[in-house]
Amino acid sequence: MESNQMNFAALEQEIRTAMVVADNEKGFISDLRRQVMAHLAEENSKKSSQNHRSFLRLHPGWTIALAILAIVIISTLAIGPQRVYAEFAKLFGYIPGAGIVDQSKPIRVLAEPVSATRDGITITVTSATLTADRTQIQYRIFGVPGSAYPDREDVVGCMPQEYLQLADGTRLNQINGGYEPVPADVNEAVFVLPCIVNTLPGKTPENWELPLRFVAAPPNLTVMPVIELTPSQQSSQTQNAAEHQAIKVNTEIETSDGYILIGQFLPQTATGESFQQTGMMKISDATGKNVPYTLPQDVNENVNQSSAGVPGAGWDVQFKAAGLVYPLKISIPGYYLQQEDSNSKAELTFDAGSDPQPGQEWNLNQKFQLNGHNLTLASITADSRNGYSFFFTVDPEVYGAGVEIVGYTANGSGGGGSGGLTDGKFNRSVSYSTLPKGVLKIFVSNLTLIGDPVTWQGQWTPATIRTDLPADPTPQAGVCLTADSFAQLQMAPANLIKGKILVNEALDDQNHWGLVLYNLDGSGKQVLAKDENWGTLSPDGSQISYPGDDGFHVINLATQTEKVLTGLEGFDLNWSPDGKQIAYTGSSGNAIDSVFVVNSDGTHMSQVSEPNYESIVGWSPDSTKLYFVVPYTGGAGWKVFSYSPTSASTQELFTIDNGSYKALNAALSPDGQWIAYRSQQLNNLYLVHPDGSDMHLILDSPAQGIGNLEWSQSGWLMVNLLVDFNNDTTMIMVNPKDCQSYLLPGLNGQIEGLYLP
Amino acid sequence: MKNSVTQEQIDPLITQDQEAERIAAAQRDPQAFGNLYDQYAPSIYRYLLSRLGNVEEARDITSQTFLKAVEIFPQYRHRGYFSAWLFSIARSKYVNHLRKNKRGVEAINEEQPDPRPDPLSELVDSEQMTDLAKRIRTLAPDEQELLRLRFVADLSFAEMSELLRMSEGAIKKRIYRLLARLQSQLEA
Repeated sequence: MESNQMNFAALEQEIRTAMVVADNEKGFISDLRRQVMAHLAEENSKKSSQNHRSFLRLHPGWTIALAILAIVIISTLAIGPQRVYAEFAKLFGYIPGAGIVDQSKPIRVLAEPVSATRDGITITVTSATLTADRTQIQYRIFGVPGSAYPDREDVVGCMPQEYLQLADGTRLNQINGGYEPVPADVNEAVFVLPCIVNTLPGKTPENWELPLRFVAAPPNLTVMPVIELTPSQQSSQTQNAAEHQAIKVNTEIETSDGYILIGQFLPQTATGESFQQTGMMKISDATGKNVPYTLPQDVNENVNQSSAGVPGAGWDVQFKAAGLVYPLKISIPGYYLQQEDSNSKAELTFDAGSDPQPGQEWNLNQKFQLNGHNLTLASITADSRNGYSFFFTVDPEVYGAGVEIVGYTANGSGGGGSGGLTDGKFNRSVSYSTLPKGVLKIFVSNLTLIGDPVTWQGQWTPATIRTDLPADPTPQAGVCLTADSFAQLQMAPANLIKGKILVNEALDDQNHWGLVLYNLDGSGKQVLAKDENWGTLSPDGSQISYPGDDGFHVINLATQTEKVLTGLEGFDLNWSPDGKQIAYTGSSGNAIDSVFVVNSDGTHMSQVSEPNYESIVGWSPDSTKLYFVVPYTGGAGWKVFSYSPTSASTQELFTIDNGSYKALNAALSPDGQWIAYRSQQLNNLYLVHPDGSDMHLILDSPAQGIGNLEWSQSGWLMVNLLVDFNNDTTMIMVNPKDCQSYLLPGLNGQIEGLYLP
Repeated sequence: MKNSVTQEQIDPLITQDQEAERIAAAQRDPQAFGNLYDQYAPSIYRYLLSRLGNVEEARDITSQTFLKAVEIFPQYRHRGYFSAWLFSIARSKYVNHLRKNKRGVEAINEEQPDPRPDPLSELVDSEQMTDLAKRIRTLAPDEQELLRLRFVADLSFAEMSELLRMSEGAIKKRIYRLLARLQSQLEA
């Protein structure tokens, strides 16, 4: 174990040496700095000049916006803040998917979706939202073959700039995540896509033109209120302590089932003090109940705008609000860091020898004190950038320190590590124009200590009390688990957890991950394969398989013997129920992550289809059909297909529109009745029949996120839940037939395989 | 005697929050952008030099990257990793550079020699290093990029996660697996 780590460290140094191109960069970096700072001053001067001019000559759109702002300000003075919220809400509204829009003019939408198909590729404009400030167009592409894309990352295909073309020739270009606004008296435009992103010339049809027609938005278009909160309202909700004023809410948006909040994180520190955030934001209501949230994607522009020029980081969250008791408490954990006396330094010596080489390591274990704290310089490694990396172990209260080699001017530095917050070690790297050699004097100084833990806080109460949300969160029909019921979840009874689970998790040394088999009660840990993942457990629990570098490995758990199906490359192995075939995701030629099927003895490998980034859902119980999903180009949905190995035919079944764009994690139940998949929000789980019918929610935001899914033969669904962003995952088991749900204690890894008799 | 190193030059263990403070300072006072430049310019340049293999081009694209960053910095929204934002600009500038020079499509032809000097052969001399360099060049482009971001740009797993829109765990797993594979190949 130890020698492997050592070898990795050496290998990493060698990779640096092999990939870094030598160049004396210092002069260039210094010259460019002067240019950048001069450019910055020029930009600043221009903006200042524009700001002065802008009051005299404004773009008409800004004139309107400023007029609106003026109305708001005047209204604030005249009618008081509460009324202003209502007035402001009339000016700006939130449309799901389109974001915050100016609704001072009538909103229009796409009359009907428009599609065009050429050479098997279909582009569909699915929706459009036309407001006074911009035009939102959503479109999706399906059917681009993998061969249309470059097979090397350094080869770049087409980078289109799509636009809208009006009948008079006006071209509306992209702005602020949409396109320039379509004039109010124009109800037709052509959506022009010069080419499909990143495809190679001649590989796909180019110059796509889709004629669009716009109509007035229907009366039932969802436009939710957007409320800008004033500082005075916030100060009345916060306490005086600095940490209680660190988190501010600037904007609240009502959604159909809750809120989107946009705010800022503004920690205050004293001189010589800094801070370290150690976890993600947590929200709880006045009763202490955790409020799961997601990160909305359609208000990013507004978060950007609210943060520009203001110290602190912007944030935004979306959550459901039924049954919440206000005020909500918003908190972020962390530590204050305290810089010690910068004049104190410890002096060490180190003999690098006359010819130190990149990758060379010196184990020193020199113990010393700095400002009364214990540090050990454990080792030094020479790197390929004419520098050294210094590895320290320290007292737990030490966060870090600076390093210099006396007599040499560094031209670069870096470092990091745990910072002592978890395991008392850190490293520093310093590089030079030439590698210092011989006996070197080292100063360690600028000690930084970990101070008191802190929880920065803020709180928020809705500007107005809503009457459209139920006082008690009533799960919709078919939902098995919500945040409330998850909080009440019991441990699984002993009679239910008699089985095995295969997980991918950090091994004991924490530097490696591997495949580990457990009994479902957390006992019987067996590390099966170090540095491997994508394992699978056979339906009868007798075999483990995983993709290794030399082929697919199959471990017989009874005999502890292992065989290798050589020559196969891929991952996400799925054994057919009859054990005769393996479906897997692999790459071949231009196909990236396409589905392949091979006989279980490694013969007769065949590619199921050509599109890229496909994902296997599972085999039908009789092994006659393989289900897989194919993403639309650039996300926006997944098409579900079935493949028959006997006839080598593929059938398109239906589209999943509400699934995660990143990873659907779809899994077919062993009885072939249900496909389970993750939602776009990543914290909901849906079921749908393989024919596309009866799509319904079963896990309704029980936690921050939902990870891996595995079905048992008996119909239980095992799921990883991310309870908060700071901790390992929690495992639960759910039976969708009767909604029985339990926690699985003692298991933390990523679920890869499951056997439950 | 050479000047000794100042704390500002070598230090600081830049934490996320110290970085947030630097960003906030630069948004208040544009001159404070210099601290961010000092922190990231070397790694951006090394990254681009590793990708392009040509000093002049790497300097040009590094310049373009920072000039663009300065222009759009007022709109920058800090959500964790400034490095991810900066490297996304660098990657975009790199892509544009290839497009403008029409090298992208030409490079797909494996039989056509790349006119650029081979950055690896200029540097590597030992037999083992040559072997490693060759093996790195035969890796998939996205695998090379993982190694480049990790070991040339020195990005943390969290920064890579932000930049590549992959989970930190997934990136760790891929890199550790890649290292294991390279190691076993070298030892074979």
